[in-house]
Amino acid sequence: MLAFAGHLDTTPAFARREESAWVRPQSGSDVLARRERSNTGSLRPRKETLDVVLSVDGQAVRFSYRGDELPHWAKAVLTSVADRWGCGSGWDGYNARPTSQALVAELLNCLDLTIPPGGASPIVTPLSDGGVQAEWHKGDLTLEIVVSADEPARFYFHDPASGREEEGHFEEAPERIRDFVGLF
Amino acid sequence: MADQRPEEDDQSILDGDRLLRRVRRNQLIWEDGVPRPSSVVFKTFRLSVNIASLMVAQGRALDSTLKEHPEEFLTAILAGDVRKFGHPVVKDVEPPNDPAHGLVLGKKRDGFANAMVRSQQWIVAPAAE
Repeated sequence: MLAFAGHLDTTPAFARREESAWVRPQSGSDVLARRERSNTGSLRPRKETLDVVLSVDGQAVRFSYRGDELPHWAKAVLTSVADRWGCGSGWDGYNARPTSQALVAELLNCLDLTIPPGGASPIVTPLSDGGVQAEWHKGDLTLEIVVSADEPARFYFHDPASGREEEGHFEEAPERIRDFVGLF
Repeated sequence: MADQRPEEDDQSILDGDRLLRRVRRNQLIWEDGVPRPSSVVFKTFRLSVNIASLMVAQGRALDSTLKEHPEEFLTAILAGDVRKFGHPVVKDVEPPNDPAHGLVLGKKRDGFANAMVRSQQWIVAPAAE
């Protein structure tokens, strides 16, 4: 089941090739509508679709991007995704599942919602369940957006200097996460 | 039918015992040329580890954990640090497992995984860049 399908202006940006949406159904929220209301300036009608092709272990992995220009962070993030992709079962030397293209698309859309103009690009690291996480580090300051296979996307933020540590569901806090990204 | 009883923490594994986990290159974070594991290393539901005290008792060097995985690195966390978050530590040594094999059980929250990153100690570290 696809979420938010059919609403051009709020259709998520990244998808696996031949798909048009990414978000797993989540209860009681509409992240993209929330972004529209927040008037952050990054949402606009997207009429063009770009093909994005990653080379992963000699195989082409394709995504589509609904827009006429990739966001500024995309090149660094996509390079990180391709370089660090978990290829094949047991890629971690234990029992990891291969990285899921659908979960990568979901993470890319989380980033599209939360990285402000000029914001720092994260490193992307595969999870053992086929998911992926984006992570930012600056000294001891840490931010993660985690898209795992078994629950909705979530975030983690830790600032040892202030003692602030938060974790929660992504859908509950995209604006706050955007503020966190601005710290890196 | 499979035994559904929850696995209980094994108190014979002391709080000061080191739990060894292999780390792949794509799980490393580099900052100012210094490597550390990403928190993803500690987020697996049934987290496989080697129990250092068992390896020592078996006369095995800790870095022999990498014998079949020469491209990987080796980090250690303390059983006591794991238990602070309520995760049981158990032995899992029945063949064909490694005779020093153990598990850290339970759903890992991000706070746990990041606490392990902060407390981990490299046994075999990547060369600094």
